[in-house]
Amino acid sequence: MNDLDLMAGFRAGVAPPVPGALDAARDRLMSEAAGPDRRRGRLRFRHLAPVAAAVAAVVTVSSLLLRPSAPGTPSAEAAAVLRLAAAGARGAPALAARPDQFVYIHSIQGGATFHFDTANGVETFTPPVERERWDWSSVDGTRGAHIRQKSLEPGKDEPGADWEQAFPPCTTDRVTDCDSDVGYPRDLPTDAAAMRERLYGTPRGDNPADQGAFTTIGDIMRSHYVTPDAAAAMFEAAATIPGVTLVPGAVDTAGRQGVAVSRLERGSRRELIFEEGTYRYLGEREVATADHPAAPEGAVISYRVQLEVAIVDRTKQLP
Amino acid sequence: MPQITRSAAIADDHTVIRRSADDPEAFGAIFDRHASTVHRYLARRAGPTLADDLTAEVFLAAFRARGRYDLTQPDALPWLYGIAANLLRGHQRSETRQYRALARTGVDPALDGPADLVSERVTAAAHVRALAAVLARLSVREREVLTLVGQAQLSYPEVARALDIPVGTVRSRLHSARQRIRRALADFPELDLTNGADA
Repeated sequence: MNDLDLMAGFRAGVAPPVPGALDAARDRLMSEAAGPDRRRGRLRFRHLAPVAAAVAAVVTVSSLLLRPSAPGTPSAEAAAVLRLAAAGARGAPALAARPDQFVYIHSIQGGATFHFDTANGVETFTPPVERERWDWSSVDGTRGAHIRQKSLEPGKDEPGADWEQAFPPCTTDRVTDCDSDVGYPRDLPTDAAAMRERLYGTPRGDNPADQGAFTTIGDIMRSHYVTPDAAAAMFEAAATIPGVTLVPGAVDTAGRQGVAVSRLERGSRRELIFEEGTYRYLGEREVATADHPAAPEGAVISYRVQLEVAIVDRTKQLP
Repeated sequence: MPQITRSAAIADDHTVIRRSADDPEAFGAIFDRHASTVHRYLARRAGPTLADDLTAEVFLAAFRARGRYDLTQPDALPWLYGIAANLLRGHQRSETRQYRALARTGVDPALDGPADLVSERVTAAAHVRALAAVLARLSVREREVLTLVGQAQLSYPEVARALDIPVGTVRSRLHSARQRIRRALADFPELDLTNGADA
């Protein structure tokens, strides 16, 4: 028995919906789906020839896939930095790795704590505490993962900030508490157009498409080994995302100086940071803007500096 | 060219959602498939009464956002769980109040049946009360990951998709939540919580 078994049993006996509750919910949905004018049109549509229906279906698919993007283009300065970063990465040799090896990522990171006080409804902000982190993830996703974290400010950090855990591989397709993330994705596009399509195609919940594409770059870089050519394609693609701008001045992250390109989200701006001079990818930050619900404007909400990425034979092994 | 035989199998969620762009009422099939599962998750977090209302809101929100559904995903459930978790963020006070009531009194408001069944309510075991106290103290981000893994039984990649966060973040939040539970339940050695997945 472990604590997840305990959660699986917690409120397992909750009552099913009272009779009629789901019917009412379905009625609300269906009356919205019917719409004021749609019903007539739909009925007529169903009497059309099957060919017309097939054509309509094709049109629908493309309209779902090709979402309109927000107006605007990235700023010229931001695009220039991203192209320099791409040029620096392009053509460099990729790390060799066997499927049974592990991707090792060593980083320094910090994340703010938000505490929601249910008594008064106020959310409070505690600035990030710096931590060192080591991630090992299976090259092909079949051998699990391992994380080690150590607080660099133990006096200020919460108890339990130092931790280490092995995440076992998934042995069947429906086992929870297991890990199947591929540490070394081999299918990342290496040209900008295909990468752009990939970034826009990644599901991002309800976020706008441009924001989703930009956020996906940080997500991919954070927990995977990305070959230099794929990274170059990613930065070239980023240079085409509307709303990307250059952050004025140098950005200091965990003592490293860099230049940052950023994109505004609701409540914060997300930054990708490159080393000054070399334009090597350094890491990322999230900084609160004036409309953030809890953090003051300009406060760093989270950051991460990538120190080393390597391929090793086993989890817990250092390169 | 061989004859293509039409499969009698029910269309996957993504096929239904694609179809619903043109035929909105087709979306009803998504409700029929997943409403009771979503209701159960909502009820386990916020109690059955709130779950009745929120179930309707989840599917209305999903219907309105169906144009942004990732059509490569055949199973809509993680997406629906994500919408449910998002809506629950607006009901944190109600959710945590019920955890605290259970921790304090041993009676779980979320397990209340209709009024005539009240006499059959059972008082929760001490460790369940302790668990409820931890759940009330977790951050909403930790609680989302913990309940989606522990109660909804989603895999890490599914949780990542539901909450729109990277898998590494799922791991971190889950770790932190589980650690809090184990610390709080250290006084119940009979549970033998050592047999977890931790190295």
